[in-house]
Amino acid sequence: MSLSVLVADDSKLSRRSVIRSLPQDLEYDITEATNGQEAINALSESEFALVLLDLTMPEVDGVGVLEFLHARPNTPNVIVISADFQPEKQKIVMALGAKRFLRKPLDKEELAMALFELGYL
Amino acid sequence: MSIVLPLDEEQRDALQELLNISMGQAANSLAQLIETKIDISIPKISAVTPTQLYSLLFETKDAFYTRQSFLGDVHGEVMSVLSQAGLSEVATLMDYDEPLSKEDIQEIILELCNILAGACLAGLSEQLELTTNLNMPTLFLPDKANFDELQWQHSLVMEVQFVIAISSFSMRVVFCLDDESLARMKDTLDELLA
Amino acid sequence: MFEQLVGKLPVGIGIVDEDFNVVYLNDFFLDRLPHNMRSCYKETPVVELFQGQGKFLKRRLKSVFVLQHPSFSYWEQRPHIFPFKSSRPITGEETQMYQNMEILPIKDKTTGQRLACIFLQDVTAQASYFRAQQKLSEALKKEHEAQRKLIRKLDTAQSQLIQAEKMASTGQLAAGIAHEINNPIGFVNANLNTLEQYASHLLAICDGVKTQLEHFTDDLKEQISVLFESNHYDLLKDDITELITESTDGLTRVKDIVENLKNFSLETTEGTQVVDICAVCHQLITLISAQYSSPQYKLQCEHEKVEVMGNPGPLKQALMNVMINAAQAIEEKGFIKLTVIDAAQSVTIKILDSGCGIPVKNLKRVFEPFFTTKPEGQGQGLGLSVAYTAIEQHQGKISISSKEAKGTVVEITIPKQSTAAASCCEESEVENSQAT
Repeated sequence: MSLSVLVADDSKLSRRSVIRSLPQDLEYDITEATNGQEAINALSESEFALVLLDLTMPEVDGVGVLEFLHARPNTPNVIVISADFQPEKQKIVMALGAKRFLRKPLDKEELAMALFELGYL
Repeated sequence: MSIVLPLDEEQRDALQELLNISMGQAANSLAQLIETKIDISIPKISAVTPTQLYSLLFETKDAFYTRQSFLGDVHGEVMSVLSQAGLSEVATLMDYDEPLSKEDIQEIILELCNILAGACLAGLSEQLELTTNLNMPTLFLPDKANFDELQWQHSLVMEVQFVIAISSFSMRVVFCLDDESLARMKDTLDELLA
Repeated sequence: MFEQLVGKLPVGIGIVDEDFNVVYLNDFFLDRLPHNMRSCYKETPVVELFQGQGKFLKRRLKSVFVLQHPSFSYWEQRPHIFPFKSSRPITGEETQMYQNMEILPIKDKTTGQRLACIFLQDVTAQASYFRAQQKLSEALKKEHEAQRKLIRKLDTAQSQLIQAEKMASTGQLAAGIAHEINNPIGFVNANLNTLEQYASHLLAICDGVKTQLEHFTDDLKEQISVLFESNHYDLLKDDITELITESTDGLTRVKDIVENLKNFSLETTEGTQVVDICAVCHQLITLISAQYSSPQYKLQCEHEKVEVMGNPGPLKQALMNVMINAAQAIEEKGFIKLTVIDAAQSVTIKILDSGCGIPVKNLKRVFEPFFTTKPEGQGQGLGLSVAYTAIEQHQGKISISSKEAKGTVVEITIPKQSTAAASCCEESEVENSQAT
């Protein structure tokens, strides 16, 4: 069975690099969102196992998406992948239920490690 | 009058993302040093005429201005616009004693520019695998007349904004590239996108 | 070889570790250390070795280690980081060395240890030159500013002189004209009155003849009728009265003009006396509002009575003229506000109207005699000139500012004790008068 993943990032380059960095050992069913609002729409419409979420996005930012998810039951695992990795920001994000915080530019190994720790690998 | 951006959509997107990452690094650097949270904007990329560049710089009222040039694989200038508001709070965070002298303020401005613009440029160069060296920043006051007389037609500008959350301080950093450097950067971006 | 080269470079090069202890200093630094320290400087905290700006140096070093990014400092903001003397302690003008500093993050290639490299440049010569230049430029700037002020003063003085000259010569001219016209008007007026009487007599005779016509012979009747008809008696009778009335009216107008011209030259004989400006304003509003009813009138006086020493005739005339202009500027709705401000030495009267305003090109000329924008025959263009002269005679100021479609403010300031108010206008001091 493939893993349903939502990749939310306003940058195409970044989405591509995130998707390319996913370990090859698994199969993925990938949905892309180009801003926070699109991500919220996708999350309201279908079920996802995993969300790979950027923070700095137009319309609604990553924190907005986390706030949306925080208010709902049965939320998917969220891994935040952000260029803004100030400790303060990480604290906010983790408090809103994100499972991991990864820095941009994304390191393949770090992503694999996070997926392993979350039990996907 | 709008000018056609000399980058295609993919190149623009890529550059924006790279800038975003660089800003993150820059903000983190400063945040570490002054132990406070810094908000960053989504970077803006556009092509401007000298007059447009001038009005871009003057969007912030009551500001300080600095410029510094960078050399290496790509050449250009970085202009920073720092709000006067909130600067004294930042000075306190930077361990300066009140009251601030005129020289203290200038020093703080130059240091902030050096850290943020420097880190931003360093991050961008690193990701593009380009070598750049930033020269020392200097204070300057943009003069409308001088801008009208500039020789170039249009320039690529990358604009990023940092806001220090607990004070009203904000700072914009505007990167300008010359034509040759723009061509080189486009090549590098294409390699990255391939 | 490189070590020697670095040692001899004419810039300061120092290397410190993460605890800010000195690892290396080149000759530039060593030459400036106290003699006894030269052999034992290693492993000493840099801030101990070079006291003074320790806090700053530490902060910058910390920033370089944390950010791994170079840091700069300039002499303009922080001239003396290291307590070094100028390299020319004998002949130089500066006693302390001006410095530019750059700190770079470096790494020891063999141990991987993080270090910071301090570059120190002696920029005393530059700084000294720059400061001299700056002093010079400041002096120049001051001089320039002083000159500009002077030029402005001269400009104002000149335009005031021109204005005063104009007013004075026109005043004399007006007085002359008034005098010259007065005489002929006198006898024309007298003659016209007589002529009117004569005309009515003649008409009475003719009418008498007409009523007695039936008593004449047919032949005579015929002849007289022909005489009446051929001379258009009916028309003549109607017209002659009208002509005379019109001429009298015209003459009255000419007399008015002459009267105004006389006012303008202020050949009035009333002496100086106490004038209550508030009372005058009340009076004026009553007078003007009767004639111009559309504007709303407001009067704001700080005190119940505000008295000045002055010549009531010209003063009233001046205020009246300004008020009339204000009233005429308002076509339908609007307001006129009079404010009387009682200062210690003077009184200021502001007449503000929300009327049509005055175009910029006209604003300069409003005090000029005979300048008017009204259609011919409706204004003499003397109102504000008269006001100007009257206020000038009281050693006061009158100024006007206006915005088209917004309104106009005329501000009149008169000293409470005018020394020359009673004397004639000629050669009066123009220092305080100003026409915009």
